[in-house]
Amino acid sequence: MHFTASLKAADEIYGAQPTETARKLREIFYLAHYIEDHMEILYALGLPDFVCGPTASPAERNLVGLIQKVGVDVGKQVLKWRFAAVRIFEILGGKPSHPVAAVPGGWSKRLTEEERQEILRLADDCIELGKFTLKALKDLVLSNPQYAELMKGDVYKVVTNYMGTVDENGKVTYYDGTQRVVDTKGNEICRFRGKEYLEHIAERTLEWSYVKAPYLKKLGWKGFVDGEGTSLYSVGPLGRFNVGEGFDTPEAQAAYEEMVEFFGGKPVHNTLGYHWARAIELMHCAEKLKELASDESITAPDVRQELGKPVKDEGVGIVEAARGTLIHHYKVDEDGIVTDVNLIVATTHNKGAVNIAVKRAAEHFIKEGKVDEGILNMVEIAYRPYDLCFACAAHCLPGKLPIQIDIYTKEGELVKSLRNFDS
Amino acid sequence: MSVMKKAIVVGIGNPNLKDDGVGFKIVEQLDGLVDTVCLLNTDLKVIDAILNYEKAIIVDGVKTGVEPGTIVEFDPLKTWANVYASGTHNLSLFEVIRIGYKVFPEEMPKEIKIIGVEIEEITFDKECSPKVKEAIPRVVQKIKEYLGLT
Repeated sequence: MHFTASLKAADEIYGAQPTETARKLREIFYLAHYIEDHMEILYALGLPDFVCGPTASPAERNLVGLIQKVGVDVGKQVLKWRFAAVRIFEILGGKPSHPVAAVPGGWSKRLTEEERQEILRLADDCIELGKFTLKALKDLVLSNPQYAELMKGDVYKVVTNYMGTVDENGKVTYYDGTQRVVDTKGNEICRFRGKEYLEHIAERTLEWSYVKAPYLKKLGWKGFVDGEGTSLYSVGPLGRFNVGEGFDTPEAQAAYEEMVEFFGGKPVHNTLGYHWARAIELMHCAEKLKELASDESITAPDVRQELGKPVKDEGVGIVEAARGTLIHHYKVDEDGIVTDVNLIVATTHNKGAVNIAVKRAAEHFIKEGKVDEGILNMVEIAYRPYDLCFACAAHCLPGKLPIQIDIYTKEGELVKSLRNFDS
Repeated sequence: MSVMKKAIVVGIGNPNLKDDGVGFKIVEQLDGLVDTVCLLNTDLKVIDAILNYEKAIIVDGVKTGVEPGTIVEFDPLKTWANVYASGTHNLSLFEVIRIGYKVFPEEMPKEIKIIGVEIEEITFDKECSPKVKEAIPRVVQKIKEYLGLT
């Protein structure tokens, strides 16, 4: 995802928009990654809470536990379908990881007709994965009255504005489009592209967090409050679901309509809806992938532009990462060497919503200071739908993160101070 | 059933993040001698990489609290401990391997060895820190001996 956002920023800096063929190849590559990513998040993080039980021990509440519940043969089939997406990624990126095909204005690896045929076959597996995932969500989660209530209820609900990317018909899109923001009622607040993001989004620095808190400039900073009038916004699968006017493929559109009906309209503020929207997107990406691979022209040789020196001293690349809108903004010198960077990643956009979601769940489940592992997981369920990445959000690589925890009595007397660094 | 290939060495990490790139650097020295692959994270791609091999060696930077550059070996068939891997988007490597054996018992390697190199620092740098760098030839030699490549 970051790879593609930075590539789009480089396109702008070098004044080299990708050729038609290169754009299509980039999009197929991107969709394949989406399928793999959504599959892992749903099956490793989302579904185990429901299939293994929300209060089950963490030792069971994971992908292994999920496979144990649904059966090894089902698990094998799901992983085999997933291999299809990984293989497509490898064909287009040149390697199963660390793709090497990005060049400003193009894509360095051409596609042969044989490879196109292979992608077409693999796309069918991705579609099967999409269908199975939607059915599994329905059978394992929605058909259980307790879980359906959890999905619809107020415990896991945060009322914010939403941001996502739409195409020229207002449909959900990922690789490129226009960023659209709607309010808590679904009314459009603004649209923007590229560097215009600076006119609409501000990032508030917080004394108590390594992650900044973005908000909508037009509405001004109002703190960590949700509800009508809030300036906080959310991104990701549910953000795109709320911002877009549906999906441009039949299976995904049908699933979208079903979800709208379940919640009784849009926008949906129930955060467990992120999982459902993620499953719909997995289906959508598979259908789009097949559609793009069906186009014989993607084997054309026009995959690169002539490249000279940078023509601009800054560039902005915006994509819809699987987790949500991803903004890469670079400033460069005359040789194209980066001099300044700003990244706003999905977890940063969602900072406000996540804080409210955790607080709301904690207040609901933790009574009289009594906490056990099951209750803690009911709180964790509140943030899991956002698929957080704090390394990206805090711009902090893993390693020694300086943390100090001060514990006070209710009268304000410091009882204990713990730190993992030398003063 | 697929034909089992002999051995693969999997390097995990990010070559731009100093000591996190140690797995890559080890794999680079084995290219051409044995099948190799480099992965960014310990996610399900590990299973993709090692399926249908008789033996797999996974090399990664780890942080267990010992002296940087120390070589730490694990047999995932005997050890189900969790170890903090040095990447940013990881599932537990042990969990991934468990999933592999659960779902693909016939296709998974009969032998898997995990070799960790204790890291010192992760920051933007293409070179590993001196102590970690010194460990690289020792790990390469160990893998060659284990796979009978010498």
